[in-house]
Amino acid sequence: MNKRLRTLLLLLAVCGLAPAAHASDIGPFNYTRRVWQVQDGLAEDVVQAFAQTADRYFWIGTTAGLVRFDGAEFVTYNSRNVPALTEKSIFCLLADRDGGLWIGTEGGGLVLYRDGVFRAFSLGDGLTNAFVRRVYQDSRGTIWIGTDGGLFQVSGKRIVRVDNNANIPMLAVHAIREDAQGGIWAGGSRLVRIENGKAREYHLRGELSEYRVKSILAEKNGTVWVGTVSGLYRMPGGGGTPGRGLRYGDPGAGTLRGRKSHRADFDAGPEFDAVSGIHGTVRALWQGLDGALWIGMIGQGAIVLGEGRMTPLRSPGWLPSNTVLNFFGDFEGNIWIGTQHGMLRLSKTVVSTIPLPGAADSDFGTVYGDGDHDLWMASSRLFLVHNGTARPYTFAGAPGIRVRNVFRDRDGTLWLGTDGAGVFKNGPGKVRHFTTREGLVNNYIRAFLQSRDASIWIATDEGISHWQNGKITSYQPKDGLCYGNERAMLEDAAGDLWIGTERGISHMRGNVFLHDVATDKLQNEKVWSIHQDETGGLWFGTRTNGLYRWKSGRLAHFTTADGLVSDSIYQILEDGRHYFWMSGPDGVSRVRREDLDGAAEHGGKRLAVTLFGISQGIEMTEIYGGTQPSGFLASDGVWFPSSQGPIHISSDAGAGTEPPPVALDKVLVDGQERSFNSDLILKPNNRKIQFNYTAVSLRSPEGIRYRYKLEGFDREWTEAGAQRQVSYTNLSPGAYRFRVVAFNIADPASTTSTAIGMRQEPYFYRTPWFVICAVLISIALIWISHLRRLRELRLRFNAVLEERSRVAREMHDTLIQGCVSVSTLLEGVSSQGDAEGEERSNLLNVARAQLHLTLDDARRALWNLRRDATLSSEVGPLLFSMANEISKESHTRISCQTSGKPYSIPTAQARELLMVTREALYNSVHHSSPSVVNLRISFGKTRLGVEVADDGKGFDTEAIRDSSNGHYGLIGMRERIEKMKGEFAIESRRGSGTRLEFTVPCNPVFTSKSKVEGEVEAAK
Amino acid sequence: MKPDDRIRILIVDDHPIVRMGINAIINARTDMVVVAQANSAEEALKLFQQHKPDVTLMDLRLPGMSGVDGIRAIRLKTPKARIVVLTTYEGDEDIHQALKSGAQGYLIKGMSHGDLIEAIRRVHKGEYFVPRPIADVLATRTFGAQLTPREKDVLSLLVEGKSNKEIGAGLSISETTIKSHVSVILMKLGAADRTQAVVIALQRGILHL
Repeated sequence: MNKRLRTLLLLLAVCGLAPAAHASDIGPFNYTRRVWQVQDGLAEDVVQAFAQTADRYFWIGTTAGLVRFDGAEFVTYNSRNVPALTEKSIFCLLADRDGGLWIGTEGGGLVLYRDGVFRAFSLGDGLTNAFVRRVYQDSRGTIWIGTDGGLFQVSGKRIVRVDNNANIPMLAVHAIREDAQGGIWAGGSRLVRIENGKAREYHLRGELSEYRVKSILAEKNGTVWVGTVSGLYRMPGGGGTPGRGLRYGDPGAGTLRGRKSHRADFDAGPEFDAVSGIHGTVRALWQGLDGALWIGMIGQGAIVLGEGRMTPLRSPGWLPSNTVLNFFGDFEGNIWIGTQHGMLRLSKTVVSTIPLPGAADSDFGTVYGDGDHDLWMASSRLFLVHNGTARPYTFAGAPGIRVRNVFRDRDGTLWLGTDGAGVFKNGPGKVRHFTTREGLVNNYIRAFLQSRDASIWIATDEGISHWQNGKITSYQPKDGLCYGNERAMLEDAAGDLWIGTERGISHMRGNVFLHDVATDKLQNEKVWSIHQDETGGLWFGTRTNGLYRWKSGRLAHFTTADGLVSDSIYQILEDGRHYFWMSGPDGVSRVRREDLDGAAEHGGKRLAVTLFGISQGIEMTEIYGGTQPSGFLASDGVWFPSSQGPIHISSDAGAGTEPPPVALDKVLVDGQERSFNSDLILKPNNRKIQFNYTAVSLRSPEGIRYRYKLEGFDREWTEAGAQRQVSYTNLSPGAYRFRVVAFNIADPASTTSTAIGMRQEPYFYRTPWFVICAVLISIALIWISHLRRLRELRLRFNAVLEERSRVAREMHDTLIQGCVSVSTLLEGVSSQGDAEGEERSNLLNVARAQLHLTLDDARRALWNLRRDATLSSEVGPLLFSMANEISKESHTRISCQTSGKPYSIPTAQARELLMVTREALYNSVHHSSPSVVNLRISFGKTRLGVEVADDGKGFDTEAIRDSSNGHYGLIGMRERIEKMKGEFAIESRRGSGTRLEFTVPCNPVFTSKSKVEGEVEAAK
Repeated sequence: MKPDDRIRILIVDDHPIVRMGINAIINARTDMVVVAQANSAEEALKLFQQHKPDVTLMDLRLPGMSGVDGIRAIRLKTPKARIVVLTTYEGDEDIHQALKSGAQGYLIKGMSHGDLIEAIRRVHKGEYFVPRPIADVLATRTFGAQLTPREKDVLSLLVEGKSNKEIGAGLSISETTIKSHVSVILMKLGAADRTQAVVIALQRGILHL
């Protein structure tokens, strides 16, 4: 909406200015032309259509595809890079109001380009004819499509045929146009005007069989022009609906007059008249903003009609081809003409060139304004320009001499410098010739200068000569001149002479050469021009190194870096408004001296430079410099010598300096094109990003400059000059913003800019979240390891504590307890005195057994076996092997038997059983004196039983419990068994042996495979 | 000496061999006699009532009721009961508790039979018998270091190797409170860390395994 509004405003503004221009201005002075053909980058010479989209890109339909042009670069789209464009020949183009570009092809249907996407319409979409001749958008926004086989409208996403029905006849359409009343004219096989969905047919009087409508133009005033294969017809607007046509279907249509008049007679009348004088196919019709009608013809060039005057444009001269296919007016006011052999741009200009008849390239060229009306142009030969026309001129006194420069002194004497023939002095009625023979230092003349004392200085290729009242004094390098090849001379306000040479400058006062900072600093410069402003500043233009200002003992230097168009300055002219006009190989540029002075004093700001470049009429021309005078300041402008003739630039020239909008054209990431509708995301492995940007300027692309900055990377703006791309590589992860600014050198302060955001994604291991995660994980790991360590410490603490406790407990339970027991027993023995007795021996025996047991327990405690419930022991073999030992030790027979299925029990339990059983066996063998002891182990399901029975003495069981002597073992045994929740029983009677039996609840670990049966017989 | 004048003695010890030895020592004297032997405090209470011994030799570590509790129980009924502790413990807390509960003598098992006889005779006479080493242990006891019952609870769980959290859960108090208890315990026991605290607690008889 904004774009449309702006475009509209621009158009209105241009329209407002339009009356100032006149069709009669058409002529060499007012338009410059530029031609593009295949050799200039155009895809194909046949240019059939033009359009300019709202983004200002200029689109060209050629027979080799669609071409986009930004003023500098052509980009071709065809089937090779756009699949939708199946047909190469682009016949018509329309830039619609929404920014879309409609592309009509010859046989390939219709294609719409919008937002970077090409979309083809085909038969399936309703377009039944693939030869699209015209796409037109009316004031209501409806898109009309004219084809070789029908008229269509775009309706939503479909294309709908609107002809070949009761309201509109069947049509082949070549031209569509809306008139001032809102009617749609469609022409081709017939001519109709459609209003409210109904067609009214018009017949053009004349060779009915020949006419086919090729073009239609409807003026605002109602006049309708129709171009056919046989000429041009006109129907003047009379207000209201054009009435002479017949409603479609009415009988008797065909009443249009054909006038055979050869006058350009536009007699008003509400019917079509043939325009006289125009015969042949009128392929294109266009009306310029100034009202001029442009008529493009097949084979006959173009005709511009304005204010009753007809100006033909023909080839050669104005057109590259006489077959004109299309006209177009762009946003900048340029007129484009598409022809069979390339396209042409016509631009209104302040630059004009006076062509030199038969001019050929020359080594030199000088212009010299002689009085108010005459201009000398010396080139391959000498011309006198008078009243805008150049004529060769030969001095009577110097026939056949190549003149390099013309100079008139204050007496009116004309001096001629020649190319090898010295100097001619054309006094009134008298010609004098000076050469080296007469004392001239060299015969090749570069410049003349008349000093305030009226003497003449003559610069040559080998030094300078000073003519003073007929006497010539010469100065050469041997005399102190810095270099022999002279290029420019100036007498400054103080009367000093400055000489610019191919190597340095010389400063001369009187006949003495002076040396100062300027001569020192510029000693290697090719100084081609010298100028002094009225404030005393001396300006030196150099061939290769820009401009110098020498003022108040300070030397300032200006180059393209400061905004100069070129570092090559041929001539400096300063006009009455203190504009510097500087010529150079790239054309002529203009800059305010005030700006230069400001830059010299304060620096910084970019110079505002207006370029009158090649595209403004100086194309293919070479501006001359290095031989004086290489420029001339006239009252109405400046003159510079060129290979095409003297160039004049009007001093009131104001160039359109509105900065063209800059836009990103392309973004390439690692060579791959990327869409850039939104912010760009660069993957971690993306290395290179390239931005192509452009500001479309069809009129003077040479004056466009760019600067860019990648925010987040560049600290400063980079002056890109005219360079339209930049690339960055290996950007660090992060957010960036690429900004590019465009401006016209004529007005650097007014800029346009665009920007795009961009993010370089980091490798995952460089992303913040990853780093955060890593840190968190590290912290977590550290924490976990800390916790583990704490736990480990606690476990170790527990283990230590447990082990400590265990050892303490073991010590207490076994060692200390055992020792205490033995100690107590021994104390008991000791307290018995010396008497031998049963008590004593009994105590000792018990002590011995206890010590034995204690050692055993202590040993086991050491290895933590005592309480290990997980270990299991086969109780059978354990008991039997012990019984076997006791049997051997005591020489007593012990018979062992088992019953039930043997199994293992926890070692701790087995150990207790072992202790009790041993006690029982000891008791039997030591106290009962048996002949045999029977040991029986019964493996029950829930209880394990052990029986020890002997046939010995026996004893009184009643005495056991309270007995303070002996038999302590029985108590101990009972207590042990009771601790295991077992049962203990003893039967004994004196003389009949003892039977001891105990059972414990068993906790079988697993069923033992081994079975011990039978008896263990002790060997006697 | 008439048999009736003999010092009548009750031996309380769960180890029969120890009882046998002590029995032998005592019975070798003419002025004293073992009238009964008990292998637990409970049995001792019964036998004490039954025999009314002059002196009771009491082990501290017994299955079921502890020796100290046994002493208290006996002295509750018979305040004049003369009791000699005969134990393997020599932590200050044990001695302190035993003496506090009413024992008049304290003997470490493994002492010479002369000491035992001496202790029995002295206690029987109404004197105290605390041998030099035991007296020394008591002397080193710092009075400020008394642990509160709650601290003892905490310490007992600490000995089991439980963490603050587990202790807190076990005692239904917060972990923070446990922390402060533990730090007070460490301070009172003069321990650098928990392990040392446990060791000290065991050494001193504040806790038993």
